[in-house]
Amino acid sequence: MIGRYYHGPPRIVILALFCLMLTGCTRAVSLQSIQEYAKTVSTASASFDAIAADFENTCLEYREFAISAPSDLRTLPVTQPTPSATNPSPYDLVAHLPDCGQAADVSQQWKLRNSIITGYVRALAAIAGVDTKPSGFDTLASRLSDVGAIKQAQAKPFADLATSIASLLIRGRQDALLRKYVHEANAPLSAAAGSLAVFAETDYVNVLVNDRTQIDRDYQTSLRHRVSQKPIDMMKIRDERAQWVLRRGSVNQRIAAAGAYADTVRRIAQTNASLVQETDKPESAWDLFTTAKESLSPIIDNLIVLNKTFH
Amino acid sequence: MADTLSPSQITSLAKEYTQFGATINDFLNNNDVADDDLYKGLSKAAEKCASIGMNLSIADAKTQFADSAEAFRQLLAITTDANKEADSLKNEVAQISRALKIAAGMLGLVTALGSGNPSNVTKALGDLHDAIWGS
Repeated sequence: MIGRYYHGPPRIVILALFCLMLTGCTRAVSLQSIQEYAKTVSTASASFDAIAADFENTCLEYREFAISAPSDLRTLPVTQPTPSATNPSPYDLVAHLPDCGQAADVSQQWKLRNSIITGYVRALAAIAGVDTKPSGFDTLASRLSDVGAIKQAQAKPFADLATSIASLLIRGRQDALLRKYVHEANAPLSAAAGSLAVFAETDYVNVLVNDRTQIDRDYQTSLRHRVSQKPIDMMKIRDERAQWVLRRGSVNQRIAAAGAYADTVRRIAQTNASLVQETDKPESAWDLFTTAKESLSPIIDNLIVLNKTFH
Repeated sequence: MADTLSPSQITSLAKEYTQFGATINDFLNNNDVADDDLYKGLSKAAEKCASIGMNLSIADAKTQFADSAEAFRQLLAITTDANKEADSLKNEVAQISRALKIAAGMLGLVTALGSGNPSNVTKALGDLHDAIWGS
């Protein structure tokens, strides 16, 4: 009976199938762009780890320079006036060295927080990356044809239609999940990324600027000392200057990297906010491709800065 | 007993001390201070500001992280859930594919039985076994 009356899918089904495949193709690109976005964010992980570790490293570097300062220059004031109640006791830099164990805790916490943010984007990509097309309809169609349930010519259209319908149903769940998580994560992601950006722009930059101050003071004081000695050791002065230029340059690069990092984490949150707006539209109007793509270029630029600084 | 600084005061002081130290440092970098005592005094003032700025910035970082802990906890919970759902979605597709393979295997067996060829039957049984239990 099937062979007599069934000459392939009815026209309305063919039309529906065409529309389905058309949207399917567009959506495939869209979901792929979310994966691309996540891939880019994932490549940030190494740079994010390195910048987090630098908080502790900067503290250690600062300590090294503070300790290396000549002992007679460590205390204030240099010329002690008559002691009185208004004259504070000398400030001993070594006694007030920062606790780099605390800085190490901050580095660990920063690394953990970075991994939570990149982990979220990866989870989103894991959902977008699920291949919604079940395999096996083609074999089943071929077997149905073998037992005479359908004609051989009908096997491929049957398999394609069945695969598309099954894929559509699964994709519906995939869409719902993406919509659910970008919405749920939006507020905490915005708060989390915002706090990391502010932390990088304030505390991390402060630590770097203070390190640079100590590096400069160490070099300038040493230079002053060497210039006052006879004969002047020009080789030593040249060596110390070269070291100073390198160290100062490194700190300045890391200050710029802090800005790039802050911009990156903010953009990750902004992209999620854009995806929320996009998924609030009817599904046919979703343009996740453009939404995710617009975020990629500036993030990649920032990652180049971070990579150059820390690798 | 000394008063405890509020978190916002720590943030503000960390910035102020850092910037003040950097300002004195810039002055010394850009000007030739001939007087030794003045140079040493200013240099040490810059170092003192940097030292206080360093300690306050580390303290402020810990406070900022504590303040944002809840947002990260929520995001982590959402991520864990999203990863489970991604796995579940993947499993659903795999289960459908497996069901199709079993159905195809059964039809294959029917065809093989109809052929009357024992080797076809043996192969079809093997395919069905693989579809059910996995090869």
